[in-house]
Amino acid sequence: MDLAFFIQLFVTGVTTGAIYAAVAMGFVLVFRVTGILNFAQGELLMVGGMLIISFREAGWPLYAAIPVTIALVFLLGCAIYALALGPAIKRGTNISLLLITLGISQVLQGLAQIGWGSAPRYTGDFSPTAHPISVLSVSITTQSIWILGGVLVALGATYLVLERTGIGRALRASSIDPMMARLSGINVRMVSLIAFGAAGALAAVGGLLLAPVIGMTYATGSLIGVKGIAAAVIGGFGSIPGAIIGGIALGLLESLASLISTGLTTGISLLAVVIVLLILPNGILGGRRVKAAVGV
Amino acid sequence: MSAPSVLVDAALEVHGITKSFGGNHVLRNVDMSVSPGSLHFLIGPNGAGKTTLFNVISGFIRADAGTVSLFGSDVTGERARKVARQGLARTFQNLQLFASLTVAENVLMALHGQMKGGLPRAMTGLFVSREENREYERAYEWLDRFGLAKYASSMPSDLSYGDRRLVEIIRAFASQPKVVLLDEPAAGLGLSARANLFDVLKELHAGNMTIVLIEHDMKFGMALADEVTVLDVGTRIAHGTPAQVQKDDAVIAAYLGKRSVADA
Amino acid sequence: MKSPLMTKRRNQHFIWLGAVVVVAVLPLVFGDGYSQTVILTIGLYAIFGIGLQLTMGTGGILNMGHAAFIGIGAYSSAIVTTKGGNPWVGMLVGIVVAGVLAFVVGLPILRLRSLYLAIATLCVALAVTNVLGFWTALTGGQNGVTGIVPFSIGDFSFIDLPSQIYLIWGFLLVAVLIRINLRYSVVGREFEAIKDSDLATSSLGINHGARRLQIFVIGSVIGAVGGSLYATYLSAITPDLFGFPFLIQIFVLVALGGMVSLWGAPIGAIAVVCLHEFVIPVISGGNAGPVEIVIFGVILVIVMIFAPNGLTDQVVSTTRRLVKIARRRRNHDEPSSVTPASKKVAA
Ligand SMILES: Nc1ncnc2c1ncn2[C@@H]1O[C@H](COP(=O)(O)OP(=O)(O)OP(=O)(O)O)[C@@H](O)[C@H]1O
Ligand SMILES: [Mg+2]
Repeated sequence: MDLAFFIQLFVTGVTTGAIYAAVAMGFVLVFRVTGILNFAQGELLMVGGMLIISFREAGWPLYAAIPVTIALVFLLGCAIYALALGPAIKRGTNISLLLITLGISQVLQGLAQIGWGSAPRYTGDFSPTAHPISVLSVSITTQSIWILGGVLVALGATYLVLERTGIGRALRASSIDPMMARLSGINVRMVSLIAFGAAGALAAVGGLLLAPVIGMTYATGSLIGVKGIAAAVIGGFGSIPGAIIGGIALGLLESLASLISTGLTTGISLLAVVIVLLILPNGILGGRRVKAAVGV
Repeated sequence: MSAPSVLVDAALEVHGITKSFGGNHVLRNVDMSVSPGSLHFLIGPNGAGKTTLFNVISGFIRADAGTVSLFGSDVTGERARKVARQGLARTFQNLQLFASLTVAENVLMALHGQMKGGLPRAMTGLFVSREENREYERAYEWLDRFGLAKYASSMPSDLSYGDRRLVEIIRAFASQPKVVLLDEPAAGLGLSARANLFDVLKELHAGNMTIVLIEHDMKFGMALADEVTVLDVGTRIAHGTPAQVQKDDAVIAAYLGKRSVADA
Repeated sequence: MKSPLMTKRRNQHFIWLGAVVVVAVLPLVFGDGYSQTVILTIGLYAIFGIGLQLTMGTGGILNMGHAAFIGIGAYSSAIVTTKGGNPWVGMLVGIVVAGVLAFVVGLPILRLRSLYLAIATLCVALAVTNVLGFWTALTGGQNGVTGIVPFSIGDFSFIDLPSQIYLIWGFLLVAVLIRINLRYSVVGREFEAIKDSDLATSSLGINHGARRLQIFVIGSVIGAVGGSLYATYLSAITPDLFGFPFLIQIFVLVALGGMVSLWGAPIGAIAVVCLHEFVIPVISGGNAGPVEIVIFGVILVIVMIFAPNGLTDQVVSTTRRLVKIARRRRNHDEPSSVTPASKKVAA
């Protein structure tokens, strides 16, 4: 085994990890602002992938299909909050809120199956080439470059929104202390709505970039959703850099695991999650102490 | 050599407790010594750190430094339920009754520690055990003693706020603790409820129970207290008998512009 | 003094005896095979539901792994009996495996925040279905196991439908009885108290981590018992029987039947099985799978928005509140003339 081989593994891992990172970031954003674990996050990715496939089948160019897909899934994310979680959050318990997101994930899966059928749907690479590009005997598909670039742009945009805009400041304030945010006049419902929308947009980016790589089915989302949760847990479930690092780490881990057996990848993420939960409850970036929530 | 508890001169000994949340220093090197059988009055302006000190003592919060001991045995850093097992009971500043249990069952919960609560028995037992019935009667007697027996089968939400406070206090005492911490029991009570509570505390205290009381109503507390500790912004600024503390310059300064200690 | 602790429990015991009578005559009233299959399925689902009610409702644990524990029970029976073992031994193996796994997985309950538990149990669920699907030597992989032997006592074998109904509903009634006893016991009271205020329970010296771990194990074991009965009834099982759609069905069951209501599991089971058997085939017109998923999803969402503790519990508590208000009205028989007047002022 030579260096190029490992670089190859590394590239594959980082590419997969980038998708996980986008999904994980959505989980973390929503969780930080609303305290909800949104199980429908993976389904939002699936819808994003399905939409771009449909738009491209309809002959739309990428520069139209991509923004429309992102915008639609953004709105879908907002709708999930506005129609279901928003009305529920006041009386809801941890359990009821979680079950609502589970229910939504089921509805999206069922509707996708009714609308788009059960067979996998495919679409071509965004920039098709006859052969993968070869750099120093490491071959990279153009779609991997799209994925890495796209996720980077999405994360960068999210970062800029969070750091530089008023709504971003409101988001950050609410994620640190929702109570204080409310007291200082931030409209927490609005901020939650935006968080759900933004998580949808991030998932859409992941989905549309992934669509050419795999056959999208109505069930694709649930597995990737679990991977996204795993990535978020590895990153400490709460910090946004953690989500990104967790995503990449999980991608690399799976890429290494595929050396042993490709069937092993799911098992590896599960194992990673369990280990992290048991040994490092605050993620690989956090300390070993469980943050105790004491409110007397 | 471990001294027998009779020889211990403090029921509750707090030494050098320091606690900060983030950068916010809430308690700084606080000492407090509560004599057995005394009613110890803990005062201080809003945000002085009184409740936080209770939380540290009762094990809900771990202090950054310092020690807590109950009748000579070290309970520093123990979890709340372990500290409770060692004989510490408390009430909460915001009432913590069990809303889905009846009033009598609320008090009964305090007696659970003395019952055999095995799970196999709970799942298979068709009848209420004799032991449980006996404890229920004890809970009922506690309510009866303070005139609340008529509410035994009511839900807490049916009671007036003052009576709910009383139930929480009775629940704390019913567990037969060695030390009881009461966090602002009179807050939000009307005049007659307050007078009633005063009599209740007086009676409980006469039973030689060690009590630490947080209360903003000075007259109320000082009339009951044997000893006083004064906190201000996380520091103990005075301690002693009620008479000593009321004359203390630092205490008067801390309360200046709010209200005078003597006639609050 | 006769303590009031006994009365609630007595009432439930009488209802329980009534249920025993009803169950005894059920197969006699409904003689045809289809009705009996439906009744039997309701019994099975009710057992699954009770297990989940215990962990989620009583223990307050976000349990995403219940279907997996049912699967463990089912596969234990399947594997033991097809290898020549006694079905009762199979059930026992299922109980032990599920119990031990629940204990190990549940250990973090003692320290993890509740959301992490949802994730941990989800991981277990996926891991179990993974193992069931790919450990071909033991589980038959995706093809599953066939030829599972039914339960028997002496020479009598529970093969025909009525006897299977009695077997399954017998287990269900025992599970309900356990739940009734538990609810009105010292331990049950502690669970109520923990849900109301974990601060106060800690300050009374109650170890709620340990209690919740116990209930997690019990709920999972009941699930495994249900799984074992399920497998011997079907006589052939595959891993995807215990996947996500199945879990969702049980969630819907609990959402409709209520998280804590003592009779909620049978009620929810009747609702879910009737939806599945009678309503959804009519609506879907041929494409039952995805339509069912959508309908169950929508039910779950709507019920959890308006009744976070489940439909039955909501109905019970709302009725109670209305009764209380009505009673208060009757006691204070004063005309409420204040409201119209103040409205006038406001306008
Ligand atoms: N869990 C916590 N996290 C952060 N800050 C806290 C926490 N608990 C208390 N504080 C801060 O510690 C300070 C002291 O609070 P504490 O409740 O102990 O005061 P107190 O003396 O009981 O006041 P009061 O008379 O109003 O009850 C306050 O400034 C409060 O904001
Ligand atoms: Mg306080």
